[in-house]
Amino acid sequence: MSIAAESKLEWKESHKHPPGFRARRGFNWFTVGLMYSMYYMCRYNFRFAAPGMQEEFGFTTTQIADIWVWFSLAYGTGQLINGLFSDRIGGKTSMLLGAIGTILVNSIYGFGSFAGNFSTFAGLWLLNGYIQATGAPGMVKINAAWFNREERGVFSGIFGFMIQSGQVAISKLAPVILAGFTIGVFVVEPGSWRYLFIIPPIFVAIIAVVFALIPKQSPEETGYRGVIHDEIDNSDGTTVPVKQAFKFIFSNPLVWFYAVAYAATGAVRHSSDQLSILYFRDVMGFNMTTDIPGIAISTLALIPMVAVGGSVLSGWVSDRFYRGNRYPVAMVLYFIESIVLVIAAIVVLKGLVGPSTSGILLGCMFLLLIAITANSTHSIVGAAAPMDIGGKKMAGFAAGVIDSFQYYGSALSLFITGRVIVATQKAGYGWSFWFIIMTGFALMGGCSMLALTLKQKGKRGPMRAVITFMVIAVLTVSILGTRKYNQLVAINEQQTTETFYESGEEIFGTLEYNKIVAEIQELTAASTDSVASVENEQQKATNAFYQWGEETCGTRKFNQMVEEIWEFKDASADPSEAVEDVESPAANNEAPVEEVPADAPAK
Amino acid sequence: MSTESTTITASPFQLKLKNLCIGIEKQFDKHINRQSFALRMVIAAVIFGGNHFLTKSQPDLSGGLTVAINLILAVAFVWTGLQIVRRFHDMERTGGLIWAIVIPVWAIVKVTEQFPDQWIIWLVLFGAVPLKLFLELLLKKGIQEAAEPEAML
Repeated sequence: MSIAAESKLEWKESHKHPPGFRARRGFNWFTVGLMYSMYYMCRYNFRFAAPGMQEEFGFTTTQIADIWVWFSLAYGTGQLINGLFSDRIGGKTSMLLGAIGTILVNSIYGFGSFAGNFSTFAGLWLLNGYIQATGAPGMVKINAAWFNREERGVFSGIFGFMIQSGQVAISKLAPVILAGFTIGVFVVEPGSWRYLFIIPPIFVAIIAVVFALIPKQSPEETGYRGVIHDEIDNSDGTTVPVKQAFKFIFSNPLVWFYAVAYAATGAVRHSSDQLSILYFRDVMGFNMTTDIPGIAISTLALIPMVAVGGSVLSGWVSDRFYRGNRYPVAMVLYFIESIVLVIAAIVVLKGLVGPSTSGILLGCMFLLLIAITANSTHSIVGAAAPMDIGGKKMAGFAAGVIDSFQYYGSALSLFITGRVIVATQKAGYGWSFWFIIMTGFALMGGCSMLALTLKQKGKRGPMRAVITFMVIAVLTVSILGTRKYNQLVAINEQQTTETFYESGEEIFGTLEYNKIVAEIQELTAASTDSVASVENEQQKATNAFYQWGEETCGTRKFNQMVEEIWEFKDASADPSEAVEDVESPAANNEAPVEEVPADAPAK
Repeated sequence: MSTESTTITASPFQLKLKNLCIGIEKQFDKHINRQSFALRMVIAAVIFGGNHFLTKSQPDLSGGLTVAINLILAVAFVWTGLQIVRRFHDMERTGGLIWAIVIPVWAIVKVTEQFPDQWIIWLVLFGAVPLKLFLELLLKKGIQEAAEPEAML
């Protein structure tokens, strides 16, 4: 018999379970997964209700986005607090309380949202975010008691897929509700967004009843004693006092290494998820609003599939070949992810990704590779590692701490990326900085896992060196990055002004343009007496232009004008299209044409 | 390090559930030979094929009938899966390999629904592994058949 076959046989022998245990665990696992997926129905219903709310209450897109921000912050912080309490009251009670809470909040939203202002809505959804944060720690805690360390990796991979079913369910249900339907005397009018907060809680309530009956917090409660060996605490029971859980988890360095790594996972995963649509539009030139190309649909459809494949595979590798240790596999995955991202950044910078056959295929391939690597670490670091660290008694808080960092990492990444991409795109770097930022996070994740690997091997010196490197790298990149960002912003502002002077007349019409220029001239003259250099004069003119523009037109209108100039400039790159596409206001301007003052600034 | 340790007992309902689970697992533990497997696959093909032609030819079935058909289909899916797992066991392989058949086939169906023109590409891309496994299930001898000549001797 070969060594591989022998080791496989040995593994099988050591993981034999009594008759019926696998099926009973399957029931437990399925019901817990179903309950958690129902949470998603009462979370993602909001995105479908947003247009209706905007129409009825006049909320802006920024306000809707702000509600999401509040939700995310409450969710991340809620994981910390609720994780701790779930270790005290048990995962099942925690999840049931969460289900009742989310049913109540959604019902209030649905039935009571006939009056109220933005703060009321944001506050309610913030509360929902906090309540929903009972789900993940409770789920991880229940499952920790049902799986041996070497079984958790694969389970986490499959479970990740299952919980997404709630999102799929609301994506299917919401259009049906919004389209309107009739069952007997019960009529839902088309566009009734309030029912999105009334019908999903009914499903949650039904599953909550099943959840209360079937799953148990440990195999012992179902008649299977001593089947699962918990390395942290193998005694009966699944709960501990809050103080004990807090002390054990907070003082455990493993949690913090994983938390840093998971922040990196969140940063890459959410960034690639949220911005991929814009990437398709800007880099590949796809129409992503009305006529989405097949290759984009295929890529978006393949992403969850390859993600699940990667998650299961990484879990299996860590279970089978590393005896349930997640960090070596996670470390390799983070470094592979970094390499993929660096290559992607270079390729995008070289202009090889774009609206050509090879460019599109290359761009889609990078998205798929990122999805595989990011989601592989997501399952083993976010679900399997907390169970290993906390065991059945403290997995809730371990999961809470680690998972909360995913949301903080994601928020940081999106905050940086949103700003940097706008600045670098105008400066001609395209979307390469999207990949560069993700590379930084992935490298941090890899370094964190490397430091943990060194720590577990007892090499404290090298471990400290890695941590020092991480701190220095973060500080250096922050300082240099901020400086470079400010420079780019200044250059972009300058370019905007220049473009205004180049194209402003055609955009706004001669009359309006002359008025603007004259006012800028006045403002500039008033403030440039003591300035000698031309550069400073231009800078002053830029500042004056922005000041005048914002004061005269209001920020929104002014930004719109600047955008129009940019669009006009882009269109002008292709003269044949420019004439047809851009309807110049100058052409419609019936006012007499005036001469531009000879001393117009910086023209 | 435990601070809370209580002796836990299972409720009568949970013990009933345990017995049910043992019964379910026993169903999966059985073995079937090639002939039985082939025959059962023909039955499965008739059920699924029949459903396909019925839904194509009669798109406006009543709600009650649709529910009944879907229930029959769900039972047929479980039953077919059971046969595949039993046949894998007969070949001394894990029943978990059923996923290597189900997932690619599901992917082919889903992608083909999206892009009917490209079905051949997806069939070639995802179909090799399930096809190989299915042919093995149909053609490869299992424990029972391999043991038969020895028994005769």
